[in-house]
Amino acid sequence: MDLRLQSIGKSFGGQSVLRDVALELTNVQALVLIGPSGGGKSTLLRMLAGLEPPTTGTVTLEGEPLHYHDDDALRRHRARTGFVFQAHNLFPHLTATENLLLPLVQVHGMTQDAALEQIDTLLRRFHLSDHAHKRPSQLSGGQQQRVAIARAVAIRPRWLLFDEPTSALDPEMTAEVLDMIAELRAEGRSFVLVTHQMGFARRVADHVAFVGFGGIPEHGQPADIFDQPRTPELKRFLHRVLSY
Amino acid sequence: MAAPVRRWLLAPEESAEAPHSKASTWRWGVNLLLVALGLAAGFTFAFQQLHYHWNWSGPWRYRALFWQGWFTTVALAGASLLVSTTLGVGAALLARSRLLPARALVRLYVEGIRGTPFLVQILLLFYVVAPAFRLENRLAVGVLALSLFSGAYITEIIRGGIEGIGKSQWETARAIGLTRTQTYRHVVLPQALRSILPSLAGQFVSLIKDSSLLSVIGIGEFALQAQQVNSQTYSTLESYLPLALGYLVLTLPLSLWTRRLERRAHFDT
Repeated sequence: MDLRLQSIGKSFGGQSVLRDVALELTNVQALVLIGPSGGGKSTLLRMLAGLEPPTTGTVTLEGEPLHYHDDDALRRHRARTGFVFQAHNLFPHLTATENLLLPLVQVHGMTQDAALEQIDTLLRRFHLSDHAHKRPSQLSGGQQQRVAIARAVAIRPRWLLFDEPTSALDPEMTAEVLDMIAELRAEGRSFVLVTHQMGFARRVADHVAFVGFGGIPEHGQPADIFDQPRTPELKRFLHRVLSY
Repeated sequence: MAAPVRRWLLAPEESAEAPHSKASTWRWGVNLLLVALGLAAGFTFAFQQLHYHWNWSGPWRYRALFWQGWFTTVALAGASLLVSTTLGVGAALLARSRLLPARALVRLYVEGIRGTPFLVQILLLFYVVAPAFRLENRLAVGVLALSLFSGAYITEIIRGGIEGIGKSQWETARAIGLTRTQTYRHVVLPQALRSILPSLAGQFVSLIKDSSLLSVIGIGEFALQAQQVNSQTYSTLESYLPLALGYLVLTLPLSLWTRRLERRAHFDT
């Protein structure tokens, strides 16, 4: 993906979260955002998804700026983006299959039959076939997240956005979800991931941005970010999170 | 209390509903029956104190009138049920629209209806509003009055149901690219409906009974016909007891159905 952020600012009710953020990346497949809680990682990701307009500045994806004031353009952008939230992604009144079916039929205009066939293939590939007819309440947290990722993949998105997809899960479930993301990485899919799993970030990223203190104090190759942090903010952050 | 007695009289802790196992259903049935018998004994005593001379022959002569009234009530309530539900869904959606005049309209409608007596609303509609708009069909005015009245309560029930749907559901719907209309249609309303069905059914029970007030504008529904029979036969209790029974036949199945829905919703989540 080619992604460019120009003088991005975001404030909520006078409280500014991001100030004059700039970033320019070309040909990145896996961008990972790390940083302290409340530092603006999720806000930035939601901006990329078209869920939250920036207060100032421009986001450009694949050479095209996102039009935050055009509701239809924004919805089209969201329809081409596979977004996975921290939790509660699935619609509880629908089965796993129906959760995947809804966007395919309603947003992407597929016929029911074609969509069901595609869903079947996808669920089989991710070893979720046994859960196809279960409601979210009958699935474990890890299974729910995997179904949510399958739904994000099913729409053939131009990119995937993950907002701390494992922070509500126990270690074992975390592993099963991260495995799935690693698999998508190996498949060549582009994505942006917000995570607190530093080991995984390092393994999967080809670019890491440290988001916090109102901006992006530092970004670069994972090896540089994790082994040779330059800014005191990043040094302190890594020292904190890696000490346990 | 001795253990066997406790077992017969007390439900297990933390269970507000009637218990489900076979043995406990049996115990519940016995309790229900005993309490019902107790109440019946109380009523029997009260009636005996009255030294009332039952005379069922008068009301029996007018049984056709009862039937006519009962069917009119069923028709009135059925039509009002459909209209008021439609009205309630529409108003609840309007209340959440971004258009401020629409929100204001719903606010005034709900507060106006809930804050004033149904009787006054019926009279106002029948003697002032309906003639002004050349609405002359008495039954239509009745359905309109009942629907407007019940619709206000249904609006609030549905609005509450919609507001109970978590923010994450809206957000997810937005993220996958659904429009606002699609979000209501496929995500919000199906879930809201599930959670409000019990209170909705309760409102329907009220609607059926409230239809009796339409007798004041001379609609020949069940309550009016019972009044007629009473004034013809001077057999007050024999005219009004069948009235109670006739309503119970309509409302009791609705209540039982609600109970079942509640239990199902319980297992769903």
